Amino acid sequence: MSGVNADYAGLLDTAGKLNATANRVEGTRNSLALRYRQLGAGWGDKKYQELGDILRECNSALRSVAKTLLLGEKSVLMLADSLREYENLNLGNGSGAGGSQLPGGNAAARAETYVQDNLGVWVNGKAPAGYPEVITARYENAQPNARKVFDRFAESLVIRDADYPTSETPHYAPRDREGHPRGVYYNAGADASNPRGAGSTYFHELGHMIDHTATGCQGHLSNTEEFRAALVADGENVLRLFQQQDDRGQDQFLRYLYQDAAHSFSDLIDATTSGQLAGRYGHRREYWQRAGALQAEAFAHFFEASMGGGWKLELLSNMFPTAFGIFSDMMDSLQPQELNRVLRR
Amino acid sequence: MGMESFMKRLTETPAPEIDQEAFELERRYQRAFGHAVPREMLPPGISQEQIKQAVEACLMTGTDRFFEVLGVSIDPDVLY
Repeated sequence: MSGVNADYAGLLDTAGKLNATANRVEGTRNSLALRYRQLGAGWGDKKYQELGDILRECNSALRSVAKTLLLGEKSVLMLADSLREYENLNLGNGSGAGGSQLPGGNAAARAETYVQDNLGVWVNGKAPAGYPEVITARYENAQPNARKVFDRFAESLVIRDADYPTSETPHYAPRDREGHPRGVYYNAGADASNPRGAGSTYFHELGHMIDHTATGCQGHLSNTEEFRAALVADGENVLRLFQQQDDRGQDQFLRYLYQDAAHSFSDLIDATTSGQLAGRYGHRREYWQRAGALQAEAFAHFFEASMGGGWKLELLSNMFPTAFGIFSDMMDSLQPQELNRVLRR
Repeated sequence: MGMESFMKRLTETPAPEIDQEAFELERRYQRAFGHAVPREMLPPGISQEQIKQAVEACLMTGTDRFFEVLGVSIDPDVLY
């Protein structure tokens, strides 16, 4: 059986590499379009049009390559599933346990079966009753630009473990490590009754993955000085307005900030005012010292709020208006039609 | 709606009920250590009672050993 296990792991590894390569191809495609658009600011003659024609062909070819790689990944995953079924059958026969799973307590050791959820994301692990409906309802109530971005990336998103122990913190792992491949780890059962709002962790962690995947995993789309400066400036403006309130007004505002649904606002205002203003939720101070952490968290918070987040979207877009505008521009830049429009020029 | 008018709306509308004791305790933690209780990095299995005890322990000792008290380890290579 050890040979089968190794083959299964090898197939998953191959699928992961195919996915990563497809993401890199997509990243190159986006980068070429962006550079062409930047050139257009000061150059719009016949040569520029000719370059546009060449880039259009490149875009088409790269899209085709990425699609082929993703189809290959899908086939490899199907093969891995078939192999695992065979493996489980033999384990069941051997132990008499009827469908017993591989031993071990962590995600790497547990048997993995990836299926696509209702929205097209690859998931390993079971969803509790009612949870898919919650996720779908949020998707249907999402901001159109965020929903289109989600659709565009859905097949590249992987939830490695939806039954991640509730004693561990949900997260997005941006790099493959032994036994801990790139992807999202969280507990769907806990997210179904999340005090921040059901489905918040799902869209937050996948937001991190989109931010990373959009660059072909060569960094984070959000990691710009412009976005960081806007977040800090917005945060400082909120602090200034807060300090202008009388005691009753300040107390009232803090009580709103202390709501679970204000978690993302609390987190960002805590980070951008160095703790001078905060509610119930935050990250520890050292976390914000990581390069790009503020922008990455803001991107994930804004994305989650945009995916049917209700009141928290209103709160974030009004309290961080400049930063949210930049985030919206990022969403627009990831729309498929934006790329076509640039190439048509 | 602009930031100013949105804040005005919040400060003029009665806020929903909150746990007053926890609110005051966590405000003390924030003032002592310069940041909110880092709930965004906590596993979902940690209860409010455990958080309260960890906050009290930090305030009592004057040292921000919140994660240590709760036995939560932080991975520097992942995003929370």
